[in-house]
Amino acid sequence: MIETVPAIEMIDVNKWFGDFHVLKDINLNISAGERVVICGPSGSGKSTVVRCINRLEKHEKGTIRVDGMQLSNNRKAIAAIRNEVGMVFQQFNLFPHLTVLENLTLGPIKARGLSQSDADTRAMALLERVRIPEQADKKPGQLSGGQQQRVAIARSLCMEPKIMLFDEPTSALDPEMISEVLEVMLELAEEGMTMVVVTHEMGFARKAADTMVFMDEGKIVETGDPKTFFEAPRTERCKQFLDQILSH
Amino acid sequence: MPLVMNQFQKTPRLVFRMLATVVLVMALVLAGFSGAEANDPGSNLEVVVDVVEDSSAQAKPEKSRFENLRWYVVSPFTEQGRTNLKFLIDGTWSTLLMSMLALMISIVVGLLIAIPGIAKNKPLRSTNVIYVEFVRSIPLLPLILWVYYGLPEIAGIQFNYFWAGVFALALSDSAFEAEIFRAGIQSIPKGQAEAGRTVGLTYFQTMRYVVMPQAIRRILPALGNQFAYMVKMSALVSVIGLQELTRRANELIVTEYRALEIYTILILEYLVIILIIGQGVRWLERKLNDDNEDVLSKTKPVANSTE
Ligand SMILES: Nc1ncnc2c1ncn2[C@@H]1O[C@H](COP(=O)(O)OP(=O)(O)OP(=O)(O)O)[C@@H](O)[C@H]1O
Ligand SMILES: [Mg+2]
Repeated sequence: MIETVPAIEMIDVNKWFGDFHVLKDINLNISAGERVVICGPSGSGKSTVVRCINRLEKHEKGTIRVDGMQLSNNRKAIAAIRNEVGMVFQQFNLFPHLTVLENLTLGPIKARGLSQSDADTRAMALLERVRIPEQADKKPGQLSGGQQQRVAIARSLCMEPKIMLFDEPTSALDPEMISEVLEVMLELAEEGMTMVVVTHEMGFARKAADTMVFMDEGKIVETGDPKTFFEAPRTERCKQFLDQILSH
Repeated sequence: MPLVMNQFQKTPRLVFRMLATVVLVMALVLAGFSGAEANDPGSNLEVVVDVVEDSSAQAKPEKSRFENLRWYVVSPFTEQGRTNLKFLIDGTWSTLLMSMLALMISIVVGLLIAIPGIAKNKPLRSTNVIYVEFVRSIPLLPLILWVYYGLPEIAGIQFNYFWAGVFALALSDSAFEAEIFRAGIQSIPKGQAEAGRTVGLTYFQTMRYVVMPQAIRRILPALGNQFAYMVKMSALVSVIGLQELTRRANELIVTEYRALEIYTILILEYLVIILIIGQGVRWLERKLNDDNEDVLSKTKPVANSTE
């Protein structure tokens, strides 16, 4: 059977923060296995788009479907969608009172009902994969930023999501730690994970993205494959933005 | 003085602090009464004496005032003193039990009131505000009287004085606990709850496993304060007849006619209880932080070397 259901579908999505119209008619169609990189100036609504996908923000108008399930106020639908969607934050948001291993196993044990030993096995395998198994018993505060972000990625993967959302995962990192996180993300992309990544790391975008999305003032201004996007941006706004971030 | 401190540094701080404070209070009480006698020329007394021009007559009542103290009524070295002390100290259990039960109830109620206080929903938030504003403006003494003498008329149940005390203390404290919990929960960055939700936890699981464990560490000192406050406020329950510490002191004074000695002991009793609570809370704080920040600084070099 051919997979016809898009992984993420956003149709005419609008959102307001009070009077402020933060998302204006967002349309986005992401198929399973697709890697989408979203960029744009600060305040253009990138985070808000991503956060609407797993209902950390509520959209007021339009339709969002994740894996065919429509987001509404229905708690079951929200829970089902969150089950399939992992998220990595700019500020890591690791649980500081738990060890690295417990950070990974909390969700699987409490939300999925996995046994402690099954969860531990799964978590250790993931820590191997992000190359920090030796940090399992430490507290997040004892790790470097790059290590913390890798733990955060492993924590999301531990829920075995179909879709991974990244909101500027390397923006809070020192330059020498960015590559270790991007490497993990590239591996994930190669394995065929559906990914939506907000980032200004254009090197990563060129390597991993199937689709580039440029946002400005709450609108999607331009979408396209990376090659045309970088070499021949159609809009003046996008060209300016790319010149700015690629010039340094 | 520094020498003495050093000498005691190795002994448990609890014991040292308690002894030091008890000695200090005793010394102050005695000094206060012997002070007039020991006053040097140049003091107010001297002026008075000059005016009256009879220094011996002035000194006499001061001296006898000091001699009037009858510490033997509460002295552990006399039969009468021991009996009285035992009578006084036997109230500890009531005071403690009442305060602890009230604390537990007020923590539970406070938490239940705090949760709507952090909701997005406005009507829910206003229930929190109304409860807190209303309950914390009721003075404790009238509340105790109202619960004990008034409530039975409409509720049809008669609390005994112990439960009336527990109920009034808990009710009055719950508003403060609610505010402490609300502040504690709100001090945890929003990203923590969001991360909890994204790994599939429900709202209550997120509270239980992510937010509260962090909030509790932050509000522990405030909870300790409330407990100490509760123990002190429980003295008011003596008015409805519960034989806790204060009631017993009052009853003993009726038979011994010695207010100063007995109230001094009473104050020392509260002091010791609250010092112990304070130490307990500090110990808890250290223990919780040991799992957290303290370990960080100790093991930081290891973390770096494994990089
Ligand atoms: N909770 C909120 N309440 C009110 N306004 C908000 C809220 N969150 C975001 N905004 C506003 O919405 C706009 C879009 O925010 P968003 O975080 O989506 O931008 P962004 O593109 O991710 O920017 P950045 O690159 O700085 O992260 C901004 O102007 C921001 O100030
Ligand atoms: Mg953002």
